[in-house]
Amino acid sequence: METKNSVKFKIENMDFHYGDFQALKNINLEIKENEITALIGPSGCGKSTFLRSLNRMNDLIENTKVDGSITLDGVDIYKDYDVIDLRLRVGMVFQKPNPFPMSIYDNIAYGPRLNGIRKKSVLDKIVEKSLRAAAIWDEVKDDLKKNALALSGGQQQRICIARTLAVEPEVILMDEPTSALDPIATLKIEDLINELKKDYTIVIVTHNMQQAGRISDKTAFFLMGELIEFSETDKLFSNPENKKTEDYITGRFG
Amino acid sequence: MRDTLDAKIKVLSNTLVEMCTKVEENIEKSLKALVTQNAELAQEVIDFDGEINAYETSIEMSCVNLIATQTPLAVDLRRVFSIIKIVTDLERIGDHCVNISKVVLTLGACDLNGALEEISSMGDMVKRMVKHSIKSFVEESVDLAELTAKEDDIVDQSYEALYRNLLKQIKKDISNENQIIGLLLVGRYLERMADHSTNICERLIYLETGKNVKY
Repeated sequence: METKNSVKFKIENMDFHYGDFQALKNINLEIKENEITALIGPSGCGKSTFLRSLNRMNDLIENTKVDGSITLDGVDIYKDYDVIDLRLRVGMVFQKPNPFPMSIYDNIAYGPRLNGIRKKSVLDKIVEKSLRAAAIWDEVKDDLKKNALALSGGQQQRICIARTLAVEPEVILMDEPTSALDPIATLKIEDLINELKKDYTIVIVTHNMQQAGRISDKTAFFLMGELIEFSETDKLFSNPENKKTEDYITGRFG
Repeated sequence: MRDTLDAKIKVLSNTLVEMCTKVEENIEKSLKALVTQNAELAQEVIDFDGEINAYETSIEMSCVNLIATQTPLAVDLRRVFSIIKIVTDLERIGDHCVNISKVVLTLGACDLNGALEEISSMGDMVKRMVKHSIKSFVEESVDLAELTAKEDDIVDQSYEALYRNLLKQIKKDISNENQIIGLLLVGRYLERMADHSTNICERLIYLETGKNVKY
């Protein structure tokens, strides 16, 4: 079933080089609004590079080159965007929970404060709204001054998601957000991701194929820098088109 | 937790109940067509079977997708597996409605010494069994499933009695053989429908207890 959601990211003929090494080859892909798109593939296949190119995190690495185009709502993010503006719209959650070494409150208020919000009543509202949206408000509401590093791994990751939500992005990129968490914390984050889909567009890299199956609407399978198959998750996991995809998801790869 | 899986299983169960309602309607209609000798109604039953088959395909596909993407385990796995089996039983019950309707179309007027009444009361039993087997699944009631499955013996006995009655009549008067064979077939179809209901009850017992029982 093709969904009617509008295109958020459009990637056309994209190549990516680390120096002489070509990490991505001629990628063409559309990421739709309010959908969860999962990126899967073996280590080194280019999926994280691809994810990081969506908010230009790769700019931080020297000697990299992007060709082709990536547009966000029709605007080329490598030509017509200030990278700070881009990252306000496209937030990111990383593999290891990385709260700042400060209170829960200050973690969430960090981004809004950078954006010039000073009024306490406004910040209070943003903190509560973000923590609620990240499904952790009830667990921390009485203890907002507590150091975020004192929380469990699963809670820390939800704090990081709340921190991302606080600056009201449109897209959230997630790079293996549950790989450092236990199964229960993982399922909580998965439910949360599913809930967030109503308001955000989500792109997630995961090494856990079952996770891609459980949470995503579309799945992209990368192999050696190429996009091998991109389709509805139901379809890709029950009846993939490409033999390489079939081999990978059935564990007969290599 | 597992909100997505729970939501998908709920949709699946609801669709199964919808399919069952359609099957019940077709049982009702095919029996009415038989008793009232209504060819038009019989044709309606035959035409409607495609919709029941479409339900089977769609539920099966949903189950495959759910297994592929949600990795259901334990009770979730047993439920999905049970649903896959149950839709097959429901689809077969639907086919038997078509079979009965085809007999109606070829039967012509007949009244064979109360055989129609016997069939009609057997039909009521089968209708109730189908209804209760799905009810037991929806309510997850092992008790109702066991009770319903046991009713199969009564249907079997009715079929035996009908069979003997019709055999006697064919011996008496060979001129009615087409009608008699038609009604024998209808009896057989009803008996098979009851067997499929029993299977549905067995699936529920498997779902709830993990045990494979046979009635």
